[in-house]
Amino acid sequence: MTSRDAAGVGPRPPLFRTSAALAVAALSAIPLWYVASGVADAGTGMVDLLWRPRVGELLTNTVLLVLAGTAACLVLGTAAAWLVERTDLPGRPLWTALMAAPLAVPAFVNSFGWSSLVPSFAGFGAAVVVTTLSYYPLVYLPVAAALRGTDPAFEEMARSLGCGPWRAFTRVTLPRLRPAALGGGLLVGLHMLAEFGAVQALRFDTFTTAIYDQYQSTFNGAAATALAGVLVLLCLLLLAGELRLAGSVRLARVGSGTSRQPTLHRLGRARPVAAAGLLLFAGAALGVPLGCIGYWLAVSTSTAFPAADLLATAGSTLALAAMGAAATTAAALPVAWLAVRRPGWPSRILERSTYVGNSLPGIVVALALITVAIKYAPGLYQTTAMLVVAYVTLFLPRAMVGIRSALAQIPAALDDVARTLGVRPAGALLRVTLPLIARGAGAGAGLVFIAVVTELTSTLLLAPIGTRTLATQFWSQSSEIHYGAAAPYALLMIAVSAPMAYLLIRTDHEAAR
Amino acid sequence: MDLAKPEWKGRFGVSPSGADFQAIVSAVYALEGDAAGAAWLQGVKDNAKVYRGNSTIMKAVNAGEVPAGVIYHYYWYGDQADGGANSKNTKLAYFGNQDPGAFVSVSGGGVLKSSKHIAEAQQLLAYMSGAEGQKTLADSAALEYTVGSGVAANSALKPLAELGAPTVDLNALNGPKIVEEMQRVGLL
Repeated sequence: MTSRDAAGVGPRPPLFRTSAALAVAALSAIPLWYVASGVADAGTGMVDLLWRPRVGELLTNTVLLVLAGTAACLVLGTAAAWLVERTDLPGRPLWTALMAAPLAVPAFVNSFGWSSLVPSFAGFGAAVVVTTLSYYPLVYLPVAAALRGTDPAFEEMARSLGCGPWRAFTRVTLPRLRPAALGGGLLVGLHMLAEFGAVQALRFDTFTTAIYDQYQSTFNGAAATALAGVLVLLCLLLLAGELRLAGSVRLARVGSGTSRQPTLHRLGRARPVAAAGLLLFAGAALGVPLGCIGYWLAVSTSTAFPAADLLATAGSTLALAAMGAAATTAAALPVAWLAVRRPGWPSRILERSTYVGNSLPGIVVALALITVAIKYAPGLYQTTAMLVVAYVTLFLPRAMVGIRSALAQIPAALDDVARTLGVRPAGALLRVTLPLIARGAGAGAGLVFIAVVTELTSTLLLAPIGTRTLATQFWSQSSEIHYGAAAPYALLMIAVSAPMAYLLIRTDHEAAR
Repeated sequence: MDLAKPEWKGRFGVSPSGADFQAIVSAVYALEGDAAGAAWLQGVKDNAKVYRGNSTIMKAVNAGEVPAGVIYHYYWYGDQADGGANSKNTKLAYFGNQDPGAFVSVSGGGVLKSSKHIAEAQQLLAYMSGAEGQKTLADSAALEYTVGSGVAANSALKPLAELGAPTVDLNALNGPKIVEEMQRVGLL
């Protein structure tokens, strides 16, 4: 039973929601405009800056990292979700928490752990391992949730019609997981494009690290803008690719009814192997960074516990993360609503335009905002508000994914019913839609929160003088190889993100019931 | 200059993204001329292992990943003072002999023309480069050399006069050109 997917198409789109969505899209377009105008300014000089062996090297590195990392996340994330949700793996509740927990460990803390454990750990393989271990939860979480939300009756019907268990899984269940897996995969890909701290520490050069180097050498970097231009093109390719692969699957059902507990697949002799594999995986993703933090806290001579400083830094990080999460979720709402309720190419473009910021390095987004602010709103420069705007630009997709999928699960007919009962559009949004998508929106906000806690380059550039976050402090200490002094900040970052990650797991779980 | 020769292939680390190494490159160009400088830079590109930051190079040498690295002296002294965890297996070697590699790089300060507090900024710079400011530097954990004020450097350091630095006209250095050159050979 699928509902009409374009239900409630009115004679014209609602004015307020459309203009709000347009404003958000305009904001996300600022970095794009910055890069484009930089490229236009450089004119023919651009060719020399782009047509050199170094750019070829970077292109190979970046594309390989995105392909290998995203593929690894898709396979491992989906496999882990299937093992935890649909098999008789021993200790399933424990795995549910353990598999999502790496979400709370920032990628650059992970690479810090690995490279301090094995000093020669560097290069392509290392970058793929660390980014995969850090980002696979972005696939695991939505896929696990989708598995829980999928009525086992579909698979059972396939079995009763003569499909073997493997065929039933690949032909019936897997396609239903596709939107969740691809959405997660898209996020992973965008993160790989923009990842700075982790790959930089592993001495693997991508466009993002090269852009940073260029800005460090020359302030007015035509070369940096040229590289950012290539990065934008890669991002557009990725977005188009996901759009093609995702197709138009319809998943909304009116009244999901009560599905029975799925029959768990018997792993048989593979049971201990699967459990050992997952344990190894969790050890690599969680054990290594946590172990190294503990080790550095214990041995390093530069270890210090400046309690007041740590507390103040944690406080300002929490405040920024809360503001960032709230603002980003609010901004994502109108765009997601248009994308789901008024499908068509204009809202598609509007929605997709908000993804670009996520694939650009924080430093490019920050410089774009500074350029615009200095010209048109000099009062904004060096304010917290400006930093929050940067977070919105960077992390909109994280909020968008949650809200969009929540909205897609609600039949538009509910809005119509509210309207026929005499509620005005704003009332229907407030009293019917918002309560129903609160969970999805909350999950998105949680993801944004964690992202802000670990954001580095924009914060370094835009934070008002004197504002420090856990990430910037960790970075300045660890890049001077004061590992002991950096360790408390890493630990606090994980401690701050952990409750949010836990809430995300819980929300996902309950949403599926 | 030998670092560009084949026998050094893969045997030393540099940090081309930092201003520190870029200053050394500009000294080589100023002393040896553009043609010899460019040939040398290409050799460095072919031979060097690339790291990010002086400390990272030092740590790699300390861990035995690479036999040698080009860094500024105070990173080594700083780590020694902090317990030496990342430098205990390493020793400083100075190029000396007026080699371009022995170039002494100077930290400078400037005031923006658009500044709203030009007089105060000048005052701060005068203080920092004056006797009192340089005394603070000498006594601090920075372990950089004092200049221009007659104040002696931190006694832990090898005296500046014994470093055998070449004479380079600092105003002749051309930063933007060096960055372009480094982009050309692919170090940036």
